[in-house]
Amino acid sequence: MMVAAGLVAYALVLAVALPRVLAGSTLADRCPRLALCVWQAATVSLVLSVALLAVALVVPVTALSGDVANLLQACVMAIRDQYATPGGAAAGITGIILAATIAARCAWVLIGSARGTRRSRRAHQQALILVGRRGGERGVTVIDDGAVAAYCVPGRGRQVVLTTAALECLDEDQLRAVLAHERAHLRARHHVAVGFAVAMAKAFPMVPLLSTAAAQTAVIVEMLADDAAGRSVKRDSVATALVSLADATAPRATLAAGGPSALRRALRMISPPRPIGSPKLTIGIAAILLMLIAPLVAVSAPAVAARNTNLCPVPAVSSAVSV
Amino acid sequence: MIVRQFGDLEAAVMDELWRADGPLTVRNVMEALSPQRPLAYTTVMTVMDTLHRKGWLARERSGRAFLYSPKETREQYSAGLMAEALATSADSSATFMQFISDLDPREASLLREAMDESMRRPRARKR
Repeated sequence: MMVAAGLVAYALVLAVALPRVLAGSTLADRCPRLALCVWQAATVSLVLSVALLAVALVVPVTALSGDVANLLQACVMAIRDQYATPGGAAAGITGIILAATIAARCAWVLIGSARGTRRSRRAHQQALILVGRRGGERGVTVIDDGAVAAYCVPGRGRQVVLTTAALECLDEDQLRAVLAHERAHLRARHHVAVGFAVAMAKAFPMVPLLSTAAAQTAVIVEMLADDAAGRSVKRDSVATALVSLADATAPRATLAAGGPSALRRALRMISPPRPIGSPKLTIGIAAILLMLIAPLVAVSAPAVAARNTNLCPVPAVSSAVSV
Repeated sequence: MIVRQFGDLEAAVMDELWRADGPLTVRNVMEALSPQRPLAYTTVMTVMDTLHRKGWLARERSGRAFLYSPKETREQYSAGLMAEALATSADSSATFMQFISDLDPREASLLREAMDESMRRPRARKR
């Protein structure tokens, strides 16, 4: 089946080739928002293509007609014909299982991780209220501790948290930069984007697109927050805040490769911004729309084509031309 | 059932208990808090009972009343919170968004060099 083969090829390109191309480009540094949309669109497109591939195996080609009754009748006959042959039945059953598995897996992991993170966030927030001290600034909690930490907890009781150790190494401008950065995360709800990407990578492990998208999403939201902070304080302050905190932070035992690199972010902040031009932006947006629509088009095109060639078997003639 | 937001009162009660030299009764805490906020005995009792149920306070009977004390010091709880927030796991990256994370020890010195370098060099006029 042409449609199935086409979808498989498309899915492979998305899953394997696209992450390599994207991860090596400078798109994320120059236009992080566009890069984020591309990763998200590619993820949705991949899952959609594989699910629609399954549908293509189940439902044989029937002509699209305006009359729903006709369409249903044609569908039933065509399906019956398909399942009459063992090959057709096998393809159909495989399709059903595949589609159901994908949908169930997505739902399970997305809902499960949303619940899990909500629970641990709430527990942490409640502990922060008891253990921390509310400073002068609204929504900022200070924890008395020797470890250098500056982070935010998103969700309903959202807070920005700093330890006394972190406060000691930041001057006023740098502190405002850090607060602006964390508040940008909270305002823009970056945790949703990160959570989605991480959950999808967990749902379907070993798919290069999904694991790279998760890592890249984490980097991109940091750069988006840096940019937002750079609008209310000097971009240099964001960079020097990174340096001050980096100097004071004890190196962590685990070196996670590909994490949001402080070096890359600081260098990005001390250079002037290099936005991409409108032509590239237009191409990017077009690519995103194409990725979202292509699988649907691929699946419905044969049906539309069949409509024009009238391939639907007519009930009265038993040896009718069938697909 | 009235569901109150977990908040200031609980924090004030924990403050008192951490500040104290030993276990306190509900009445002790109520009297300590009353200058800032007049509270009903039952309110304070409910709060302390809730904190006990949630595992923050230990309690033992003393005559007719209970004596409450924090299970851990403030410092121990802080350390626990920090450990949670700074844990480097994929799941925690959506829960805690840190300003700086995953620091390679070499990066810190590279970062410092890069910054010093750029401060010295005259830079192009920013738009």
